[in-house]
Amino acid sequence: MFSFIVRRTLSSIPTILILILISFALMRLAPGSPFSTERGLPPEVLANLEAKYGLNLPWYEQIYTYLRGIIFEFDFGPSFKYKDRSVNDILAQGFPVTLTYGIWSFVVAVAVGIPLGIAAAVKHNTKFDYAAVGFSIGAQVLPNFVMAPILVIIFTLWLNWLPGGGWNGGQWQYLIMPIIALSTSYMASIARITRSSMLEVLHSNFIRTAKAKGLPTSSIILRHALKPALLPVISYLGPAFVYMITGSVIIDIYFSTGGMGQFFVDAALNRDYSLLMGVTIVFGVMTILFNAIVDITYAWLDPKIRL
Amino acid sequence: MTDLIKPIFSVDDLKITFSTQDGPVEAVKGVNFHINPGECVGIVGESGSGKSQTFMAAMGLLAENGSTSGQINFQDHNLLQLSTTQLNHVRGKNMSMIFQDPLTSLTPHMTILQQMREVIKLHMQLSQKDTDIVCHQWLDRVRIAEAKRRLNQYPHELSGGMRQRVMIAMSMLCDPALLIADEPTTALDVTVQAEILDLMDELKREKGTAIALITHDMGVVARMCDRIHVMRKGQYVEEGNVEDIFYKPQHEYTKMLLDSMPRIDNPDKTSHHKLRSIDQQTTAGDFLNVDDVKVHFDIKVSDGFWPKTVPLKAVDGVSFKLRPGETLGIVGESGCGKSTLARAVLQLIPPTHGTVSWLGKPLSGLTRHELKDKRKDLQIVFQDPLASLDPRMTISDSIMEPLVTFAAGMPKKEMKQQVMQMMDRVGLDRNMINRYPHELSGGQNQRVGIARAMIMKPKLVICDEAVSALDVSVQAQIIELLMDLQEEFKLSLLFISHDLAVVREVSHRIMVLYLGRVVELAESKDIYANPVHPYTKQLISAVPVPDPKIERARKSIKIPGELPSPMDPSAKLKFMPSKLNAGEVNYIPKLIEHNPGHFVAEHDSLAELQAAG
Amino acid sequence: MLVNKKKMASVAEAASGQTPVKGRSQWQDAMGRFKNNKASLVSVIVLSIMILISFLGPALSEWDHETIDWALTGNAAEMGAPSIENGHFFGTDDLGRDLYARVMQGTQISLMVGIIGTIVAVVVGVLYGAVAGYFGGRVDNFMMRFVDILMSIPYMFILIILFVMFGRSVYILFIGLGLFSWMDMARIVRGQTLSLKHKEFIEAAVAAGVSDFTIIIRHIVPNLLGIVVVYTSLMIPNLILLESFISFLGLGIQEPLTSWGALISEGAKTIQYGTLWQLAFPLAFFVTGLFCFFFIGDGLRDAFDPKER
Repeated sequence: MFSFIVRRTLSSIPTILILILISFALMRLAPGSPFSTERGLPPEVLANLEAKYGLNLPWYEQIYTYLRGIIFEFDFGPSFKYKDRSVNDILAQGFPVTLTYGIWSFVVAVAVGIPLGIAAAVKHNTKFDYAAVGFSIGAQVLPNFVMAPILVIIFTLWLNWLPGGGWNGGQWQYLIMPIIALSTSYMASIARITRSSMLEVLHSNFIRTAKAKGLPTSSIILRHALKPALLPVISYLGPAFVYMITGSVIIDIYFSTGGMGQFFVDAALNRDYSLLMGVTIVFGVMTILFNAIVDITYAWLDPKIRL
Repeated sequence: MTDLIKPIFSVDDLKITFSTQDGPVEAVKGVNFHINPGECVGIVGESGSGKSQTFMAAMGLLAENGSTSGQINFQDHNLLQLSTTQLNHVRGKNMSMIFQDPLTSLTPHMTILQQMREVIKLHMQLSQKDTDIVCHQWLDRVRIAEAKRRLNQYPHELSGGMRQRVMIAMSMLCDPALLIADEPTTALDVTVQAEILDLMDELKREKGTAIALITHDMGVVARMCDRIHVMRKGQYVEEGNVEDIFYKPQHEYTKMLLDSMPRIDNPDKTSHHKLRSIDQQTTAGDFLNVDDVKVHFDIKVSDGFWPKTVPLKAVDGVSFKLRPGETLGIVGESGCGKSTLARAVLQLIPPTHGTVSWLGKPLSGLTRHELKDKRKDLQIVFQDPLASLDPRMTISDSIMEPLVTFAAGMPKKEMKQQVMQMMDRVGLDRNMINRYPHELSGGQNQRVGIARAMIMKPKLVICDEAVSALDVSVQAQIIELLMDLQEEFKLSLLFISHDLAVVREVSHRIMVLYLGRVVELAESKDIYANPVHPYTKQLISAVPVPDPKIERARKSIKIPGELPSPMDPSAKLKFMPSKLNAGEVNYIPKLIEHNPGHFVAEHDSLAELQAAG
Repeated sequence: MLVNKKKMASVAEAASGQTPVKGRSQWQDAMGRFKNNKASLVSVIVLSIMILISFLGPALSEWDHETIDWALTGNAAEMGAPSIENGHFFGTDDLGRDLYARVMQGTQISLMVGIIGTIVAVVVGVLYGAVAGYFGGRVDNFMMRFVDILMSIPYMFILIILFVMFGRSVYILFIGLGLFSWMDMARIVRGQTLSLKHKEFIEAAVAAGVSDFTIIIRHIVPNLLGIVVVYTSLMIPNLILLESFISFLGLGIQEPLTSWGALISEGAKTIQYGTLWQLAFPLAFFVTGLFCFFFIGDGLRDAFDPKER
């Protein structure tokens, strides 16, 4: 097991490098200079600016400097747009916000989705099951960008219970709608996957054996069926994490929470390449590491691949 | 007499119906029977006869769409009326069950000990320490070596035979009054089957446990049962004690079943077809010559920090010659490399080493194009009739495929004509020509497979477990068909099977494989009359004979030790531990001509092997 | 003549008493099951109507999707509500453009993005997966490792960077979305090919001397078809979702063209002014369309894999 963890973690490194290289290559391939949008810059000023950001160096030196900055000093360089702020500053401001509601959403999606799926499978073909299935089908067409305005209509405009946006240091009133908007459709997916895999496991031979032993239903579900039924759910968590990170952009834009997503969209609209890259790399590394954790959890749950 | 004994288990007018999309299907149509204490009752029938469903209903394990009427009485309770909670006090404690497929019947993520503990905790008051002792004792009791270590292993680390023993141990933990065994040995090799059956018989005698044995194998019944019920299409067609059923069968179906069972002790008793004796003057010459063929696969094993690859020697130096018109039977247990050998002969898997020559010319090393010409004469019939046909093609398209490949110029009409004739020949109705495989029965699909193999009039057909997946009655028909075709087309056959009785019926010569190596090769009569190698002796002694008197008088030969992993380099010395002890780890047992035409691999004597255990 | 010949043949066949029973292929079976699935069937009908409306609907209105009704500009909240009289069936947007025409136009774009993007993804995915699966070994290992790496990158960000750099034309959107969605399909097809390759009927074909190419065409591709159809039908709504997501951020489709996501985005931004119709109409189309696609996909999956459930 230990060697598997080490191996799996090490194998993330090339993926991270490839991610950085792809982002870097895209940035260099981009037509025009990031400063060309600013009108009327004399050539010498432009050259000065490029020198300041190291854009006049050969590409391999640029990539070397950039990589060295990230790896040894955790430094993503200066922002092209916000003249006085480094990418690091901006990340340091946005990251905790995104992390807070991101983790909450993830926990809510998992903590509600899995029990819901299990209950639906156990009560297969009952009204409860149909309701759960109905919810998970319905929630498929309620992605975060649909949920967000609907929530605002209900809770802010009609009921006037919750603030329609802002962060305010992460007070609970400001957290609720982002969390619901972000987690609903993944909760539904998790519930659906749990339900169908639970149903499949409940029809397997070893559950028949467990029943033949005279075990009560509760311990059949919890001791025998749960672990194998969770395997497909665990492998879905990787993609779900990616979707949630992506979805955080919507949350930041719609609720003005001030997370990383807001900066990302600003950067995209302003061609602030170094900030774009910074956000992409931070999100990418998180994703890659999370996938490693998912794989390790999977191996831990399934003794057959315990290496 | 028997009326005085109160049965522990009785079934009254039990009906089981499944509601399906095509309306209700009655799987069990009103059956009555009982089981007395300490008695072994056999329920015999072919697939789909509903033989398991009665007991599934008793255990509360029917599928959700199943419903019952009638009564199942066990220890004064009507099981069908108990709630799940009430039933949980009975099942696993007073009545327990083991299933056909030991590989999937244990929970994969729990250790053997955890799974056994559960039962005791549920049904008995024992301290944790005593519980573990009882579990350990039972593993010893079912003769699992190194029980202590096994207790903490996961199911996938155990072989199929061991898992079935664990299942038996687990079901016996609370000394049940009735043990239901649903095809307990069908998925196991014959030698393992013999051990499991002996174990069950022993438990029955020592513990007085009644056994309900559900099986399709008349040989197993003959060995184990006191009374028998023969089931067909949801009804008992005949019931009686074992002698009556075997020696005085009344119902046509019972007669047919007994008749179709191949007999290892006396092949001529049941065969309606005689194996055409082969002209002893014909020499193999250049017909088919397999010389020192090896097939090695690279297997990834986790060993230490990085996984590494280890060669799996599936076939490890096999040589034989085949004469025109001859059938060579290849037998061995699972994992002995018999199917790999078949594929290597046909170059479906290129051999790692050695040559296969056909009519004097080597097949190995040919280009695809050159090989294609030869393929016309070399065909194969597979084990799983459904999987061997493209599900999206009609059966006539499947049969026609070789024609399209080899005789592309032939007009479509003529092809169709040939397909029709071939269908007639293999006993398929012509009006099935546009049918798809999933609409046909297993036996019919296997006929399609045979028709496809035969349509180019090949000289050699390899039958890879071609009848193993079929019910005995169908099996007999397919064997008959193969032998007729052999006579008509002067075919040579390589007949691969794990079933020694079947192989004996159809083969002129027989080759026994063990972990990729030949252990014995001789004339068919010779090998059964005078087996020399201990493994051959063990195999033959393990096959049950469908005749209770003969079967119960036979003693199965046991050789201690589990089947070694083929990746273990010392596996080839399993029957020659003397060399291993002498430190000659790399010694390879040679094939020695014991009598003219009777080859045997070097080995220690059976007595020495048994003493070593 | 021709008719005569056919007739003759059928007469001859009937006379011989050997009328072959017509077999039912798996495909026919699956389609039969699909037709029995009411939710899917209704979805097919609703979706067809929606497609028809989106292309024919604009003809019914005097307004097009980019002309501003100056009479209403700046006063959308009070005068832009849906009405038959002024010809704005769904009302107008903030700028005074006709919402009905814009929804029709957005529906066209969203459906097209979904379908064309899916075609790109399916072609790339099926080819990639089939090649990896059929050749196996090192090739497979390398190709699948590459897919693993791609899948663990948050591709949406890369995609957005691409849009920023190379402009935001509709074509880039089609191809970009397709090129970032083929990995799932590749994995599924590869898995299926791998398991098909070891089926005995493929071995039987090899033993019968059939060439590699013919085996792929005659045995592997037809057997892949079912699963490809199912996943294709499920991929369309997912690509529509992706496009809507990007357009919601204002990074996708460009004015004056629009799409469901862009319309929902506009509607969502103005709800506090009470112009609920600006959100309601695009949302209704979006939700209905996606529901239909998902139901069709589920129906197809059940039809092709009846053991499910």
